[in-house]
Amino acid sequence: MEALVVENLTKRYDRDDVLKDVSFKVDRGAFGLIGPNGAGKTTLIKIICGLLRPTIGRVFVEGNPPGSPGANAAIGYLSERQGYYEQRTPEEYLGFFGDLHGLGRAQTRERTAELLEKVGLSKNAKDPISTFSRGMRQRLGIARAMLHRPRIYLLDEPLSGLDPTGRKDVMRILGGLRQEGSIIFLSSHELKDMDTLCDQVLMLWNGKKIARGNPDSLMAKMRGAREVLAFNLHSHFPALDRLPAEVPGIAKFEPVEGGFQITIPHDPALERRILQWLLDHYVDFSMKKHVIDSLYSQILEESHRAGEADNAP
Amino acid sequence: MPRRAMLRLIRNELVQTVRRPSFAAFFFLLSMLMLFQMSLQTQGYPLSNPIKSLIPASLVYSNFISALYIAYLASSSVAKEYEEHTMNILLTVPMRRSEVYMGKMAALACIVPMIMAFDSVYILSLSASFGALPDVELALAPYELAVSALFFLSVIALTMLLAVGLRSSSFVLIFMTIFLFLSAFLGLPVLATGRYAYSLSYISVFFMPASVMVSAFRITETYCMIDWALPALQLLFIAAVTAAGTWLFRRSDVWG
Repeated sequence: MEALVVENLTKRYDRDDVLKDVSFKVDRGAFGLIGPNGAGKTTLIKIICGLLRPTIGRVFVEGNPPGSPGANAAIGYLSERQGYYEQRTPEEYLGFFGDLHGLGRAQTRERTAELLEKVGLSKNAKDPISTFSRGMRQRLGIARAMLHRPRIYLLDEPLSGLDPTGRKDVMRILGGLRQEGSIIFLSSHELKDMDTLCDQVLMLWNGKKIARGNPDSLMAKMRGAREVLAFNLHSHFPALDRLPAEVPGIAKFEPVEGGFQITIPHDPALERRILQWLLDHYVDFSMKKHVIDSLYSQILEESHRAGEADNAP
Repeated sequence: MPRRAMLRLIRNELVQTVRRPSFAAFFFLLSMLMLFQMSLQTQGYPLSNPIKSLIPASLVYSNFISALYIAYLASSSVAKEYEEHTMNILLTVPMRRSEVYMGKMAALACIVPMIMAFDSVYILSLSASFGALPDVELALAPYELAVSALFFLSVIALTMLLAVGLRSSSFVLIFMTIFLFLSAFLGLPVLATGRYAYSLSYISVFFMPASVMVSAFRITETYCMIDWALPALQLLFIAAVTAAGTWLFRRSDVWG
């Protein structure tokens, strides 16, 4: 039996289709859901959890309809906007959910201690959650999701808002879960979060599935570039027109609202040369690394082209 | 047969409610109010018949405060879960949504006997201090307490339905406060049943079933008889509102 089956899922909200005819199956490993904000990632995860009802389509979690006790027993869910009972301690919080998951008192106590140790919160076991940082909350949320040893983890943006240490900690925990044979279904708006963990990635754009494949194949669609770096120049001046000729390798060189944008593929040497050029010319600029939108739009364009080709007579 | 998970939810909700600082503060306030009422009204009042003077005012206030506090607890139990984004986690435990809703309601219902016990102790202490309660009043007491308990359950059911619909504890509380005040001044339940004496001087107590009895008794100077229409209507109201709340809770999307 497939762990997760999503068939022709559409979710309409206020006459807008938040999800449009999305289908896929997951039976093992780690599965990534990627897309920019508003792509429908959270909606999809919430439908799988039974928190939202699909307008059209069906979902099965280990053969059970979402939201049913059987489906809920199989999933461990971490919400993007995870709320906590602020006055409770992690011990009480996990104890509460252990109780609701039907773990015995002794088993809950044992599991709570084990998980707090695993997520590095054992020293804070008796502190109120209200005193926790974002990273600590995220780790506690993961511990709660792991409490009843679910087979499937549904993690909505588990890395968002975390500092590098926090991201590393969470990735380590997720890697451990994957090694234990659990199915991980996680969402992110950055492909780079997926490539170390996920076997398969599904890309959403405006509620539509635009690509599916392993992270490397999706990255290959960026014509070899894993990252994109954009320099936003706050003004345009005549010497700037010479830049493409003086520093070859620039992917895009275009005016944007309120200035000028230079986009280059990920290449530290090229990055250094452009930086040096901008500094030499006293240009006021800001940098935006990993402009993932470029990847989406590129894949979107390709998918549109493929669609047109398919529809051609 | 309720499932075990539901019983565990009831226990947890109840423990969390009782551990709230506001819970102790509520009973403290209730005690202070009653003592204050006693100290005000005992002066110069003949001890031979203290019940007439002492019960209505203090019970009305205590019932009103209790109703508001129960509405606050019910809105916290549901609307706050939506506001603080804890509901989406609660709904992913292996329980049916209807069980979560009924579990929360049952936990709140457990508070009602505590309030009734408090009121009973108060009435009995009055009786002990100022003389025995009349036999008829004692005979009616269980009925009055039951009707009061049903009133509180009505408040819980209505507040929970509103909390699921509005998902904002402040809106729910504002609505319930206005509703309770309006009920007090318009005497809606009494007018709806049309069974009880009605007088402008006691209009403020009419929404409180226990007080209705006493007020009617004071106005007409005759003892109220047990009228099964009132609890029957209350039960019908509770059943209908609970069914509507459960249906809405099961069907509604949790976006936040």
